[in-house]
Amino acid sequence: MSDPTFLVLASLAGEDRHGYAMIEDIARFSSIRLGPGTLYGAIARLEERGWIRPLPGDDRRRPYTLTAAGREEFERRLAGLQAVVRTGARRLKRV
Amino acid sequence: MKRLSRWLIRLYPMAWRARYGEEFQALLEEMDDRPFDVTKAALAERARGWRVPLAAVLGGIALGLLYWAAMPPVHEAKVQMKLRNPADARQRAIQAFNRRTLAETIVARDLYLEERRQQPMEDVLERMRRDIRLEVSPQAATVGFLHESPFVAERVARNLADALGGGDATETVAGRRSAWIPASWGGLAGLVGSLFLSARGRRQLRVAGTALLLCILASLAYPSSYRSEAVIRGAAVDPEVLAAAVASEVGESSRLRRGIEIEQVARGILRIAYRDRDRFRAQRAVALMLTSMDGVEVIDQPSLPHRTVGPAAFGHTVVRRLTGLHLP
Repeated sequence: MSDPTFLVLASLAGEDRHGYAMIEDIARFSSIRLGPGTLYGAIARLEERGWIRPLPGDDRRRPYTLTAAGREEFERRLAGLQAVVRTGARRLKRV
Repeated sequence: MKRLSRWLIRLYPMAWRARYGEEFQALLEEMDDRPFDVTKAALAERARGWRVPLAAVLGGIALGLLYWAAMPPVHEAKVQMKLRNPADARQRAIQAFNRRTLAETIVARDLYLEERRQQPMEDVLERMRRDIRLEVSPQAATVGFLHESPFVAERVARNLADALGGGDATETVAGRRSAWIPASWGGLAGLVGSLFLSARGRRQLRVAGTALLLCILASLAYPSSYRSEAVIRGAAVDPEVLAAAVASEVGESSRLRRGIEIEQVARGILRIAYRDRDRFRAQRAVALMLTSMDGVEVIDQPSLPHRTVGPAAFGHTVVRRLTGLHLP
């Protein structure tokens, strides 16, 4: 859940964003404020795997977007997480 | 302060800077300064290649060599002997290097003064045994001794060779101990450090660290036991007779038989040991075993153990080293 690559995928699932916008968005929905080094470490790994790609930017800031493979990967991870959430919620109700 | 983070971008590999440098710099300008995060990420990025691990290993080796150069030198003196009867060299070494002889040498040569102030003689003797080197080949034997002073190392090595006897000392050589041990430890530390920086290595190290911690906790939970031992020369030993002798001290139990250890250390020489949770009882049990045997020559009297043996010893050693606390 706190894996920076997962958080970046989640942020880009909503819309294309550049680095600073990603940090703000992630802080909003997860209360985790990624450092710039951590963010760009995740971006580099995701781009290397072909899960995100850069878009042409209008200034020095460059936005990123999810690729089809990245969307698939994010859905796969999300499904795993949902299974955990469902199971946890069911078990809590039983108690 | 933002200047610091911007300057730290230089820590990233050149290829990474060419690809992300400009946008990363733009991001840094919009944010609070995070020099630690930037440094950590830059080093992790570098550690993914081979240059940082290599530099860390080389740096570790260099630090190890510096440590070796800065520490008081340890010299190893070696006395080479032609043996008249090489077959029983090890047997004679066990007899010659018994506790009494070693203790006399320690006192006569003023060895281990610091250790003698802080530790029981048993531990000092163990230390001396670790500093003695014995190599036996078909025609010759080499007795060596490690000491800070080459002269002391040489004299003690000669003493030990004389005590071993049965051969003619042909050559004595004293030289500074090789630097490969601190260098290799430094190199290993560098490798572990660089692995820790990379995400893959960090996970593996976390698993290894957890496993080590579990081993330490498991060993601490294991019941402590002490091992007293004596070295004898003589006829074959009947374990039943020994068990009967010990039974009078500790009572008949299954633990009694597990506690008795008989090991042949050389032809005609046996090490008799007993393990018990009480170190004094362990020593008494070995003494009783010796009195139950006829016609044996005692080379080393029953020792009074100061440290635990077995799995618990591992945990105790780690905790003792880390905290300085005196544990059994």
